[in-house]
Amino acid sequence: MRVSPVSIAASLLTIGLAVTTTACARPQPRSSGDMPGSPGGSANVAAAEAALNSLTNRIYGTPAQRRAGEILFYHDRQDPLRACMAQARFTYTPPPFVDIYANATSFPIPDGVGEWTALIDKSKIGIGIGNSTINSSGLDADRPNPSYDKLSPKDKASYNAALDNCLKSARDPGDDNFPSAKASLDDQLVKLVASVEHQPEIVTSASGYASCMRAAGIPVKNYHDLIDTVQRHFATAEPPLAHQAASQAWLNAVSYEGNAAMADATCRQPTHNAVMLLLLPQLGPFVATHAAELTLVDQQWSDIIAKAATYTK
Amino acid sequence: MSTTSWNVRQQNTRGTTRLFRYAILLVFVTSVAVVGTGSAAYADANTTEEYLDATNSKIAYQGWSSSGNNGSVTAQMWQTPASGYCMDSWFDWKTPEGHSHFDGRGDRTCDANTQIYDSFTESYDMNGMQKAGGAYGPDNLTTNHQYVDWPSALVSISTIDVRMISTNCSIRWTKRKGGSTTFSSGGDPTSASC
Repeated sequence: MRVSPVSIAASLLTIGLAVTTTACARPQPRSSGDMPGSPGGSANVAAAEAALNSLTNRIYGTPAQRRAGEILFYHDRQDPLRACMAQARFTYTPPPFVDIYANATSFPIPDGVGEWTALIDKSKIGIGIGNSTINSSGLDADRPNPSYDKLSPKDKASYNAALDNCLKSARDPGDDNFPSAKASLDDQLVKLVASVEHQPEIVTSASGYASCMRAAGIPVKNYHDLIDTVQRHFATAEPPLAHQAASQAWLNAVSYEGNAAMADATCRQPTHNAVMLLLLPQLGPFVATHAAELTLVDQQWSDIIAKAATYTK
Repeated sequence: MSTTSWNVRQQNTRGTTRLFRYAILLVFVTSVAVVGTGSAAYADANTTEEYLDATNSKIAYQGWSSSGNNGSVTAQMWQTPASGYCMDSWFDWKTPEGHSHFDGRGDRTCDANTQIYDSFTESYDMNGMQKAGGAYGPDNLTTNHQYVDWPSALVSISTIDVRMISTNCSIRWTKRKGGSTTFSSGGDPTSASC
């Protein structure tokens, strides 16, 4: 996750502007067609969300593309370790691959593209943290490792020394779970969104978010603070295993996430809509300007899928 | 969060050393001897390290290029941890404009007398450290941690979940336990839900 808090300077600047605004201030619409509450405004917000979501799926990948990237990420790290340990005459048993996108069928706009751009979907429970926890919980699981467990204390020490060396000498594969062409596009898209979100009308609108959330019983400063807060509620709650009742701690975390998402949906909507309306006319030109880079990222995602398929045959 | 008993030191390219909390001479001498094991050599290298106990048996190191794209984290645990306990080392960049942060990088070891080291290269140049730290505690609950916030950082560590667990997609982490190593990509660096 990338966090982009509104700068303190910008916040201070807006205090004067926000004197007369209420807790969930709305930016002044620029024309009747831009009014989020109007039919045209809602349509434009939806159009902007669709265009941005299409673009982010192309850059950051679909579930199938991301899954392929994770397979490369796994093998690029575990296979050299296994080979290195074999050279030291030890059997290294990697943990099994965990598909953190197992239940994903589509991705919304990533929350880190901007402060206010994450989709608001009141039909969904939560903001995705609990669901993500279930998908990736296998990463935390302790598993028996017979080839290591059976070693004597002295041999374990030798094994660990060999693993020290293998980990230290391993080449960093970098961000091999994503296309290399993603980096530049990512950077430029985030800057585009930031340029919109730093406009005075957006900063003014955003200044009401914290008080609105506090009034709803969720004391957070911004959307990213909300995510961190929800994550902390899940941190000590074990997700339920299949065919097992959920613990009270888990139910409490899910309940908190649901309440937080509902409050966020109300408090963030005005600023989110205003950002989307300002973004809409800029997304088409962005795609046109970066057409060659987007074609390259498409090709690199195809390459990642093809390479991952060689591991799963 | 406990910050009462550990030493934190930041060192920049000019060799300036700032002691946070109460620095002990013995710690300094010992750390000079071991720092080379955890720090990569960069042209504009910076390092920081956190001592998680009084005997220097648990030390977290971080190294980074102040204007480039590479860095490293190391967790060294030269003792047998309490049953079920682990130690962490982690690092987080400032974004190029300086206000934000990217997915952090973290290492955890749970095995006695081991270290874990990760070097990393980002896709484009960064703007130095945003925050870094070390932690020790029960596996997946290493909430007692020591940390350094870069003075200009606007995101305090107190607002960030630094634990290397599946719920935290704000860190790309590597974990060593029971003779095996788990790597978590952190998923999409622009999404909290991986």
